[in-house]
Order: sequence, then structure tokens, then C-alpha cells
Amino acid sequence: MEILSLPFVQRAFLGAILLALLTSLWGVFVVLRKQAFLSDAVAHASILGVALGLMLGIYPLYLALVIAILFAFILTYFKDKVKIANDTLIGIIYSLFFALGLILLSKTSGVKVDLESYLFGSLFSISPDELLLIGMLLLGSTLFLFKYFKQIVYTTFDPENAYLQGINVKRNEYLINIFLSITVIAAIKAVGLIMLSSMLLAPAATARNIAKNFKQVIPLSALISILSSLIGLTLALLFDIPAGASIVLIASITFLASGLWGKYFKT
Amino acid sequence: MKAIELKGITVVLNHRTILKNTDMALEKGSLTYLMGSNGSGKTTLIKSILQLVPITKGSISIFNEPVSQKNISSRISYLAQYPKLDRDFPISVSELINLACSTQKHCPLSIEEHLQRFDALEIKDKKLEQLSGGQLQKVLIARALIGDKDILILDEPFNNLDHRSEERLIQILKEMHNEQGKTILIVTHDQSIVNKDNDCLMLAHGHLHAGKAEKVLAEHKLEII
Repeated sequence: MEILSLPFVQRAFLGAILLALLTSLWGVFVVLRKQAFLSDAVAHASILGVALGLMLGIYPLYLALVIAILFAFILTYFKDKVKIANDTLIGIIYSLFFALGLILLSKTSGVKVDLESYLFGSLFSISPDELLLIGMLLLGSTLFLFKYFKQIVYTTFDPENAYLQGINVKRNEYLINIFLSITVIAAIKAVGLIMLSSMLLAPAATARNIAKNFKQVIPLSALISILSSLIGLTLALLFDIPAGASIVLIASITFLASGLWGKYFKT
Repeated sequence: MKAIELKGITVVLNHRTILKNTDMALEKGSLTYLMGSNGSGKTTLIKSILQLVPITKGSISIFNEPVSQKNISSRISYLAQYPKLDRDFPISVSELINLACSTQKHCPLSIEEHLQRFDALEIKDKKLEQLSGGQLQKVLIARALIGDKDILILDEPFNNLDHRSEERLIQILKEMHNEQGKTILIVTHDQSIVNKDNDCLMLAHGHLHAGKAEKVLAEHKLEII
């Protein structure tokens, strides 16, 4: 228990809870909009921001944030402009960003260690500034969804009908994709680029599996996400394993269990 | 007064001319059937009124004002033939109707009363993915008619409905037309539901023929066989 009094452990737990809330909130919309690939793509595209940050000596997460917002903006803009499937468009644009990032990284020396923290994440090295950033994002997301919740749900569920009801569907799509991209960047620090999709998707998909109606989906997603994070972090401390991987493991097992629950126990 | 007026509209989709220099007018308080064979452009015509497909020429007005998202949302209720909604979305029937009501200025009935009207109260807690085709159609009709709008455009509303539900819908539409003075446009290819005294529009080869249903159907019998 003594270990819990250490500031970096306390920050890790606080960060895990804040991130769990943030990712569970937007994860629901990622799952319902069938945009699982988008979250992965944003994470990979943001490597360009990380590379730029490392190259220019600017805090990489800030530039990753800028690049992620730019990526979301480009995708939303071109979605209705080109006659190709959305996932094809995402695949092409994120590869472009990723390729540029890799080229820049190849020209930047001594970045191996820093880059690893973005690939695999490290909750135990989360700084007070990063906590503040995540907290602000959570506050912003909550206020935004509080004000526009029904519009966002309508846009997600039936965009054509939402338009006919006077809802600004395109603006909402920009905002959803931008908030989602920011959330992805915030989660990179905790679980890393490779595993963040699972942190975003697993609790929301679990909630979607067991909820009886839409009203239950977000609270369930938040609850599952927080529990996965706290249990995962505790296991990481007890067994000296990577925190991000441990959290993702718990969240993914919970999702698989919810699938079995749905198959064998749900009426 | 004209509830909807189309002047010389042309719609070209994928290099194919669907509508060519088409005029159409729906008087306020009229009940009109829009008919035509499969692929004649009935749905495209409706979607052009709703700005869901672009027109290349002509103009559209709603109660003498140029069509816009604002006057569509405040004046028109629409039931799509193939709604682009996500059936896997974990939303219950009552949540869906509640969501639709939240976008209206005024919902004349409570959610329960409204569902009862469409014989759908017993499925109010079911999720969309648990509904049959007919039940979903009833729910979507209920959603389309939740507000108190002046114009109802219903694209093949009787699809998937059993005889009892079909009768019920016809009764509700008659009430809305006769008692509330709504302007109603029903897209259908089913002659059996057409009241011969009402107005009818027949779409054939990109052109629209208007008149009383009895006359139009007699003149264009071959178009809908």
C-alpha cells in the first residue's frame, strides 16, 4: 500500500480514471459510427506531429494534437467530395501522414527512446501538465456532449433524417471527428499508439453488447472503462508489467466475456 | 396557395437524366398520389424537393419560399422508402420517438399516445434490431408523423405493413388530411390504395402527368403494370 503514496503512482491512477472517462465517452460514438479504423488511423497519422515535435524541439504531444485535428478536418471535408468508400479515403490519407512522419523521423537523430513511449505508452510517467490537458479535454467533451447530445446521437444514427430535422450534420461530423482525434492523442500517452484502439473500443463495444437501450450505453461504457483501468493499473503495479497492456488486456477480456454473456444468457 | 411548387427542374444522376424540365404543384391541403413504374424517378423527385439530390436546373419552393433546410425541417415530415438509419444502433423504440420529438417545435401527443395510435405501444421497449420489417415500418411512420408539420411526404408507406396496419395508416392519413388540413403526398405503385377522387401525379420517362386519379390512371395504365 505504501506505493500508493508515491506521487507518480497517484498521477497514474488519476490519469487512468480521467482517460477512462474520456475514451469511454467518445469510444461509444466510434463504435456506433463504425469508425474503429479512424481511431487507429488518427493515432498513426499523429506520428507526423510527434516527428515534427522531436525535430523542432516542441513538446511532441502538442504537435501531434495539431496534426490529428488537421487529419480529422481533411477526412471530414473529403468524405462527401470523393466517390470512394470512407475507409479507403482514411487509409490513403493516414498513410500519407504516416509516411511523412517516418521520413522526418529518419532525419532526426537520437529519438528512439522518446518514440517508444508513444508506441507503447507509459501511464507511470504521466506529468501534471498532461493530467491537466486530459482533464481539460474531458471537461470540454462533457460540456459539448451535454449541449449537443441529442444532435450528435441523431447525426450518428440517421444522418439523412437528422438533416431533414434541421440539424447541421456536417458541422457535427467535423466536431465529432475533431473531438475523437484529440481523445486519441490524449490516450496515446497512456496506452501507446499500438493499443489505444482497444482502450477506446473495448469498453464501448462491451457496453453496446449488454445495454438494453441507448440510455445505458454511455454510463456502462464509463463504468467498464474505469474498472478496466483501475484493475489493469493495480495488476501492473503488483506484477511489474506494462500498465497500458494490462489495462487493454482487462478491457478486451471483458469485451469477450460480454459476447459470451450476450450469446448464452441474454434473453 | 401552393404548398410545394417545382418549376422546370432537371435532375441528372450518374450521367443519366432522371427528370427533365419537370413542373409540379401541390395545393395546400391536397392529398396526392405520386405513381410510376419502378425506376421512373418517383423517389428522386421526392429527394430533389428535400435537397437530398441536387437539381441541375429549375427552382423549388415551399409555401412560396425558396426551398431550404430551414423550411424543409419546419414544414415537411418525410418517410423514406429505404431509410439510411443504422438498425444495429442500440436504441429502443421509445428512445427513437423521443429523439425525433426533441427536434420538433411541438409534438401533439405524448410518446405513449403516439405509439398507441400506430399500434406500436407494446414494442416501445424493444431495440430496433429486435423488430420485424413490419414493426420497423410502423415505428418509422410513427417517427415521421410525430411533429405537427404542414406537409407529409411518404415514400411507399405501406411497404411491409399487414392489412390491419395498412387500414390504420389510411385512417390516420385521412384524419390528418380532412380534420387538420395537412398536405399529403404519397408515393406508391399500388393502385389498390389510391382513392380515385384524389389528385394523382404519374411520372413516366422523366415527365409528370397530373390530374384526378381516376383519369390519370386510366390514361397511363401501361406505365404502372
